[in-house]
Amino acid sequence: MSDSPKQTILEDGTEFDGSVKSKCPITVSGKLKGEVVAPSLTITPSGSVHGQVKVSHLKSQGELAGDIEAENVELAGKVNDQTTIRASSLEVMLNQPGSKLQVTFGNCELQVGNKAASNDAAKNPPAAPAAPAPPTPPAAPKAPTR
Amino acid sequence: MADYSREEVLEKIKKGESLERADLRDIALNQANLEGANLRRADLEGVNLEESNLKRCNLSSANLRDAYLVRTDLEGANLQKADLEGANLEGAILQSADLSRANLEGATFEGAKLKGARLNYAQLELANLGGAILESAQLTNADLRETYLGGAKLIKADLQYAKMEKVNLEESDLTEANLKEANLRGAYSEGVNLARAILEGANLENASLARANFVDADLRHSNLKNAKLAGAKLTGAKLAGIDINPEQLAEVVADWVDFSPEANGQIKIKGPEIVQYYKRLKSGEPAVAAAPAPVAAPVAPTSQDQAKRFFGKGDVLRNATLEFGEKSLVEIESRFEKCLITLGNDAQLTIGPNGVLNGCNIAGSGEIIIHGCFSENGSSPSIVGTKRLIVGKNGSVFGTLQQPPELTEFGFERGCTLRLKISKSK
Repeated sequence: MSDSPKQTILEDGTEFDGSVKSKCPITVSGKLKGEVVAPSLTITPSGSVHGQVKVSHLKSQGELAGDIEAENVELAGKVNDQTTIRASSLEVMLNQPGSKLQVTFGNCELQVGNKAASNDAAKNPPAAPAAPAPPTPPAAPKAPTR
Repeated sequence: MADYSREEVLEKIKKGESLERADLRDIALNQANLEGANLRRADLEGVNLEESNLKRCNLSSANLRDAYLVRTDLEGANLQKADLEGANLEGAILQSADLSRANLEGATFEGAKLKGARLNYAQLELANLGGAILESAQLTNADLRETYLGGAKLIKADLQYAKMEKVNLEESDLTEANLKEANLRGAYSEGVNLARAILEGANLENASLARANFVDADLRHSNLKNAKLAGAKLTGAKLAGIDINPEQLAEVVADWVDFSPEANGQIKIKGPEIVQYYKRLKSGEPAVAAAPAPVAAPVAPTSQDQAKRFFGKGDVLRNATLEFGEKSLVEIESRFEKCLITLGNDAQLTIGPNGVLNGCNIAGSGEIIIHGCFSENGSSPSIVGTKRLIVGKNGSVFGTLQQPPELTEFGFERGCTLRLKISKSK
């Protein structure tokens, strides 16, 4: 993209202790300890976030610890002890042969997906709906008095 | 009653005075020069601004409901959180304008120029953007439900996470657009150009995509269930992890597609082989092309000394103790209850899409691949010492895993269900 949207960035070498609430995506390359509420959080390989996190999208390649709540999570890096991750979806890529582990987990808990905890969950595909009628452009409003 | 007449407004702007919060309702300000004016929070409901110059104006949080802005020049204007519901902006110039979080519901932008405009989180539900120029526009998280974008130019537009259910994209151009995780469920998009577009994780379920151009597009992990793809061009498309009925793939036109998880071209499948390849992948059978490190694709056996055991669909095994030797390949499509399973070094246990392991314990340093369901029942940890755990997008794991001293390698595909406690070795 030619223009990048606004972002909150915590650079490498910076430590922050406290609460961050942002309407912008947050990128952490330094150390953040506390509460984070944002639409998205990216933790780079040099970054760490310890505390309570509530975001829509989380991508971590650094260190993560605490109580994490997100819609979508892409995980690499390190997940420390006493961490709980609650997410609608989680993606962890496998490492390439010969390389070090993409992600390491300490003593932690993963709660991912919304399916009922049933062993015999029905796997019936949904019925195909009727073909949709193409939407048409709405009529333009007319000019007011000039 | 408006605070000022047309002449007074023009005089104030000429002197550089602010019109912040001014009541300017229903004034005829057509063909006027208002360049750079401060109209923040002004009430401009129903105002006529046809062919006026509003370049770089501050209209943030202004009320422009039902305003007439046909061919108005709003280049570089600040329209953040402005209310333009029902406004007419046909042919308006909005290049580099900021419409973030603006309410544009039902507004008309037909033929408007919005190149490089910011529309993040904007409400565009039922708006008409037919033929509009939206090149490199930012529309992340925008609400485009039932919006008309027929024939619009959205080249390199950023539409990440946009809500686009039932949007009309007929014959529109989205070359190199970013639609990662966008929701296009039920979109009417016949003939749309999505060449080199990013559609990773997008929802295209039930969309009409006949004759669409997906050449070199990234469709990994997208949902194309029941989408109409007759004549859609998919040469070079990246398809790892897609959710689609195999018969839908028979309708597409492609010289080859790429099924490698990293979209690096390592698993190229020729056109006539796509359906069979995808069927094998879905059923959990060994795939023809070997992936370097796919999350959920089955791994083909590599040597003849690997003994293979298969437990078929419909069988039930209860209270059994099973030991599988070094490098064994075990595939379970049946139901195991309260079984104790030991895996030798480098053994591989695959729970297929129909496989269910209920109340079972698995120990040993082998590899576990789960496309079905694994659940523990009382005895914890239920998985001990496994070298690698992979859970496919339809797989589910309810249990506790104790890692070996050298730690377990994990691979989780988007869509999987986990209630998993992980602990380090004691």
